[in-house]
Amino acid sequence: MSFLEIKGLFKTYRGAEKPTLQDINITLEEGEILVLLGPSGCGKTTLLKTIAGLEEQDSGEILVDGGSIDRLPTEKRPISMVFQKAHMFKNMTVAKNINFAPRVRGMFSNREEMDSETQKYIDLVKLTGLEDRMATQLSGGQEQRVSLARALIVKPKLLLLDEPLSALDAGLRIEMRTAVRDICKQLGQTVIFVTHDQEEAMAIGDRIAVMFNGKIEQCATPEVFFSRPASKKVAEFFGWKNTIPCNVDGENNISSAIGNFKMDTSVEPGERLLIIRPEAFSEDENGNIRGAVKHASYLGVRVEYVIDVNGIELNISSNSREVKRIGETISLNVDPEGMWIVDDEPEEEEKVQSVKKGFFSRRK
Amino acid sequence: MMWTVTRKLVLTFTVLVILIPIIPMMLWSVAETWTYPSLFPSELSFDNFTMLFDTYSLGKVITDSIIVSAIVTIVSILLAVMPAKFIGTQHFRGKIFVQTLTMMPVMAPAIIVLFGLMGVFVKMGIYKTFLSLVIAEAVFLVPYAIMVLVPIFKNYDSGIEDQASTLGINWLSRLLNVVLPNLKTGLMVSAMYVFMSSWAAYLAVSMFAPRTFNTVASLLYPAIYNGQYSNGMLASLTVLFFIPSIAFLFISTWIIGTDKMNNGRI
Repeated sequence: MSFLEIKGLFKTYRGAEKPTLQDINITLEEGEILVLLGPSGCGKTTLLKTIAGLEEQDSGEILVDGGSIDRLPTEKRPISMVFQKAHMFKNMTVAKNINFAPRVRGMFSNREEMDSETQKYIDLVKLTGLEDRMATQLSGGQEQRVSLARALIVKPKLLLLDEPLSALDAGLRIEMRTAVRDICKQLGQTVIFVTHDQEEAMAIGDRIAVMFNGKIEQCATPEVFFSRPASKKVAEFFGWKNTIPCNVDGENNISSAIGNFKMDTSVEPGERLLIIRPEAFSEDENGNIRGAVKHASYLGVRVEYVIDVNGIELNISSNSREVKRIGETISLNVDPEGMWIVDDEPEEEEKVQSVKKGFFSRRK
Repeated sequence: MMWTVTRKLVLTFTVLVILIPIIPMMLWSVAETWTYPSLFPSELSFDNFTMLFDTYSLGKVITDSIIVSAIVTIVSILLAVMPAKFIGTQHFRGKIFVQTLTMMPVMAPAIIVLFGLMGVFVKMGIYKTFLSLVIAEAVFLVPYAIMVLVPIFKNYDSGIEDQASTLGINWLSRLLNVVLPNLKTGLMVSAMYVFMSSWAAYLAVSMFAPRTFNTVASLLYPAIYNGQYSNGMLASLTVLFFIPSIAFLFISTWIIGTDKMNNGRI
């Protein structure tokens, strides 16, 4: 039995046309970090809130460490949550923000224990020296560090992080995502981390669950998403830009408008989509893919091209120092490792969660 | 330089406008004899205050007034919090209409509303009781309390309640340690307004207070109109009328000023 088990979770908001969560099944081992990744409105935050008890599921079951938590109110669940907004207790200092919950829950046996535990978590999130600063005097990054520390100090079985870095600037985000992963791994903390940024997901997660339209589309390790996405939508979300209709026969031969390839694939013969990462292409005078440059962007360490091969536009990322001019012919080879076959699925409406706001809805 | 001079002039003018009517009143309250053409009283004493306290049991009147205003303030704030939170934090169709509806009791002429209430209180058997007085004052003050609290709730971060509950904090601790400190300033402003309005209420007291019950306002207003008091006694009564309001104002302002969350801002 896994540490966290979510079985067949469904949730539909009042007045919504579609369910926000549809048959969610997730398992998570102790100490594992799972990243929920998906576009805005796909149901990630609803799923976290349902696990935390802030929303109620229509059906399905949530088990933590073997016990069902479905009937427990939020404050009784062995779960802490860090929100997108830090929600500081503004009337308290950094230290009091951090030790407030364990203090009122009677988790400390004496003052010394409280002080030492508080200091331990302040040091852990690198806020040493700011213990007595008021919560109103912190920067965005410091606020999120306080949020993380106060969620961890109550020693939750499961920590939920709802896009905690999205309000930070780019540099701080990168610094914080490393810090979050390091701290959680150091404590052996089981975590579900929500983000819409695939780079952040790859950097933080042991596994990633990609959500679209309230459903888990694929759940796997970051490497699998990078090399073997399960569908066109997942592929596009992970930066696979070139989607080319192709035909696969029973002997792993792939024929498409840009050429014929042979690759090891286990898909059934028929009409499929060939997807190729932009960086899988390499310039080669003897290359068997030839096309005309339609657009070129010089980015210093690489050049990005859009080329036309037999009426199909390909996005290429080239390491060559020489920039081809528009209209010039370019010859390319493609690394089979950067190619993958997915099913030619019908286009689904991307706009998920066309949730008609209920008569009453909380102000954002 | 020019700005400093202008500022000093404006400040001086403002202080004078506020103080000029108050200074003669203060002087009258402690004047033993003050006859024309003297600019100031020739003798000072507290006889006016002593006489008031002796004649009208003013100590009891002030205590009763404070009790009524304090109870009306607590009741009005308690009744106003939930509707104000609802209007301030929720989006729904007809919100402006609902908000306007809460102001209905103060839109109609007070006397009409009070006569309506009188009929209801008589039927309920509570007419001319302390309860009827508190209800009658609250009917007029809850709308104002709501009006003051709605913008406070619009800026209120209700996410802190979710945050606190996901940290395992029970509802009572959330209320006392998280919610109330966040609303302290707004509640204080609202309470200040309600208390002062209740303190100055005359019509409701004259219609619904028990027969032996008086407030400072219910003594002061007839005294002004009937001319049964000397200038000195009227001034003393007015000074007594002012003191609790000013004290409440100073206490509230001090609490708001020490609010670390808002750095003293509302």
